[in-house]
Amino acid sequence: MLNMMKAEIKRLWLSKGFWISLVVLTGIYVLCIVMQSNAQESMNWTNTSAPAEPGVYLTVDEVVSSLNTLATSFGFSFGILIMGIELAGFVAQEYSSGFVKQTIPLANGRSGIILSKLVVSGFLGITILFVSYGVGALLGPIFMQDFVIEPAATLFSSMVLLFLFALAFFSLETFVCTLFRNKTSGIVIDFLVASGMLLGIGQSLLAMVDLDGLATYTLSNYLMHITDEVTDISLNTVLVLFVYLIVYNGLSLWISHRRDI
Amino acid sequence: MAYVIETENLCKQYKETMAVSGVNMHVQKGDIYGFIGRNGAGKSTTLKMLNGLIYPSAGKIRLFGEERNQYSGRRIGALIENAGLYPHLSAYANMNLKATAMGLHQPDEIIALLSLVKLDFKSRKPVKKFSLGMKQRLGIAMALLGQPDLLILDEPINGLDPEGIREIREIITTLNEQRGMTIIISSHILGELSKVATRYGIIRAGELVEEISADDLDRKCRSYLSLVVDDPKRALVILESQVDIQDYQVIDSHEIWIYDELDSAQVNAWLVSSQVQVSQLYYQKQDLESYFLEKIGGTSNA
Repeated sequence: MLNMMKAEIKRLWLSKGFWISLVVLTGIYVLCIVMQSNAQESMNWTNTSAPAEPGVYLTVDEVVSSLNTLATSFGFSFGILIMGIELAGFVAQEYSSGFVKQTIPLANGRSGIILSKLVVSGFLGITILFVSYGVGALLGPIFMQDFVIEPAATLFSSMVLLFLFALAFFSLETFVCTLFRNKTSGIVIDFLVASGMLLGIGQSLLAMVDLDGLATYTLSNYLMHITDEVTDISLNTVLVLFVYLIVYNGLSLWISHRRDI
Repeated sequence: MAYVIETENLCKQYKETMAVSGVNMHVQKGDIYGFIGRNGAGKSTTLKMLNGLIYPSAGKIRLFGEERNQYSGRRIGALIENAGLYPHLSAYANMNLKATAMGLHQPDEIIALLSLVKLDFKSRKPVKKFSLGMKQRLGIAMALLGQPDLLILDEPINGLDPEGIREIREIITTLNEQRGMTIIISSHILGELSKVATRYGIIRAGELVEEISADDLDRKCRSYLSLVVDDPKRALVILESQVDIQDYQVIDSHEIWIYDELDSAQVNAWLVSSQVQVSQLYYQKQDLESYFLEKIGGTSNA
């Protein structure tokens, strides 16, 4: 199984899509930093009642002045979206190309296929954090006034939480792609969850059964309030994320062991 | 007898369709087992069950004398339907990925296998630009990684030109003769299969109708003199006394097939002079194709 994990990391490394996604993520992140710093310097705040002028806007509810806020607001949010698209293609390609026929018959092949994707998810999570915090630490002090870099312990605990978020989110995507065996389903869930579009639907559905309080624990809600979660890390959040990890990967393993290729 | 593959009442059901029903297959070590059947007969389904890609609905599979376990996969190499390759990677990169997943770190083996199937290991050409024949050859090379004891090839020569077919045939023969590899080949191209197979399994509508060795098949497909007489017992006594016939078969109450070489006119003369009525006498040869078509239930190409 360890060998399958090595093979999947090697495949990701050889994938053009991964490197393109990395460049796109970095580019968008840098653009966001520049736009945000320009907006903050110009003090050009627009309230919701004023008509929007033509242009590219990113709505941010706070002044970004620290590395954690910068990394979570822009780097991590875009990272989840962009690397999520790459992951969907990566998972689905094993089925669409038929390479899965090479790996399933190997020792613990059916489990290895899923667990190796968890390792790939971890790798993508680390990549997102590296870009978010690395580029943020480099460019934040240059572009942002009064930019603060939090103490190492604070940054470390934030990164661990974000890493867990990434794993949980990518596990959901892996499950969807394993279930439907195509990348479109993974990309759709990526957009719906990362953008928060599913949140309203989820809240309404839960409200119908008087469980609207549970909407607080959805991945969409966590991602919508990611900066708050990182600032004030709660054990509750960590536990819920672990539950998502176990449930989605468990479902993926169950599907892998039950279905014919 | 050492069976590499032994199945017992193997079945696969999809909703209301029995794709494979009660297959009892026996593949001996060193066999080149030709698995023959029409399109949709259940060949690929059976091979996928042997390789662990799909789960049987019923029945048992024994590989190398044991139930399937985590080590079985390492001893089997397979090319089932398409080759299963990443299109954006080169031949070497695809091989390398599979080797890594298997825990193999032998670049020399990859180079040797690519050379065996006549593919350039240095080429960076992505697989999506390969011809069908090149993909099939790469698929065989992938199946040979790790030096398996059993090779399963599902329609390996489909879509290949005569040169490609000859190359695959040579590879199969070399692997069997030099490495003692047991090989299962499914195909509906009977002529090609008959050039390499040592044993045949004939499947029709999901059922294995016959397993027969190549030698037995040759015997069945020999030419013979067919006699239809009123009294076969008396006819046999006469022929045994006249020419001491050894090799014959009584088909039913009136028909005899004689495999010994005889002059039909002389046979007729002996029988008629002994008051045996001969209503039919002719030479017949059942060719391989007719034999198989009769078994698999087709009148056209399998």
